[in-house]
Amino acid sequence: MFEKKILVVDDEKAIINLLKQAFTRAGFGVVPAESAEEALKVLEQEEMFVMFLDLNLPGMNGIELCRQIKKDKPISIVFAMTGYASLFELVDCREAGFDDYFKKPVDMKTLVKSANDAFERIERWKKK
Amino acid sequence: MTGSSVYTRKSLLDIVEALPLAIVVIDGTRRVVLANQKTCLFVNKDEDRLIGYVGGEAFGCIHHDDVPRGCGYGKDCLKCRMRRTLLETLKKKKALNGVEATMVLKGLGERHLRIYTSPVRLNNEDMALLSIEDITEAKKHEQVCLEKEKLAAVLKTIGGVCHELNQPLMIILGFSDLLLEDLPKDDLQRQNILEIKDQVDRLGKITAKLMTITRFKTKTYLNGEIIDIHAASEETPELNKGKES
Repeated sequence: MFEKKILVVDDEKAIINLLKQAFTRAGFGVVPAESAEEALKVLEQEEMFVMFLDLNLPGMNGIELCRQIKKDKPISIVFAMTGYASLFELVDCREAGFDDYFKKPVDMKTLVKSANDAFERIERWKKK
Repeated sequence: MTGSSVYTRKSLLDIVEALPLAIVVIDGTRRVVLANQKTCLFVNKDEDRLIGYVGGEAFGCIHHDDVPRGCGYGKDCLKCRMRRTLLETLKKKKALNGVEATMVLKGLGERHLRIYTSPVRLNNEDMALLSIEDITEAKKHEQVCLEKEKLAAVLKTIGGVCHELNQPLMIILGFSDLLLEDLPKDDLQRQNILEIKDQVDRLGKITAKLMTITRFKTKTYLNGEIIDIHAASEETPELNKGKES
């Protein structure tokens, strides 16, 4: 059982597979979801604080999902991943509560470093 | 519409002076026989520098003295829509409405004109009444609107293309990273994987540049035109390094 679990939400199976492998190698546990609705169900059952969300999801999009997550769990750290985002969408991301965003393609080292930093921040908050 | 209306010089002048367009009457030799004040204002000339002159010279067309015989005989005169429209009206006694013509006039530059011609009989002679509407500003506005529409369409396409391309690019880049982690430091395949990563990085920079497009700029490509990514995007000099042709 991994202590540090990351929720990865992307409707592209290959991306999920990639992030699962990369984060697992870095010592994290990964819980995948292929839609926002599936992600919310997962969060009802499991306590997770670090998440990587694709913005373009079928049904509820990544921005709406982030709003919902931040409402329920303000402490969580949520990253956006996007293949394309206009300036307006990035403003929406900020307003929805995303802590940072990555434009695809992004290398795994950057994502792993961000995940490590996020867990450090969560730890600091928990100690307070 | 065919057939000529009959006027005296005074009766015709009374009518054309009351109208908001530049109006001239042209005789069978294409000389100006009558011009209203709006025409004088449009070409910035007094009436005595219009009357008796052939159309192109009267209006200040830059081609009117290309050849010694004057307006109507130069190479560019063959393409002149103003000349062709007037000749057709004079010959066939036929009104022609809303013909768009472009002329380069001395002191005024390139002007887009919408012209209307109508056959008239003045002093027992068949002539053509020519009304000129300067639509240069409207054309410029139309052009700006068109460019905006094209840009909006381009941006929508680019959004879709970038999204679709960046997904597989991320997958290739990510799995290349994982392969590199697995290979021993001295494995010869490392160089090949690094080459793949470099190419993905290059494609990533192109899609990043596509996302900064703010203008509709094209360049010639073979027999057609394509979007000039470098000229159409915002200035990002580091992305221009090593750009492909």
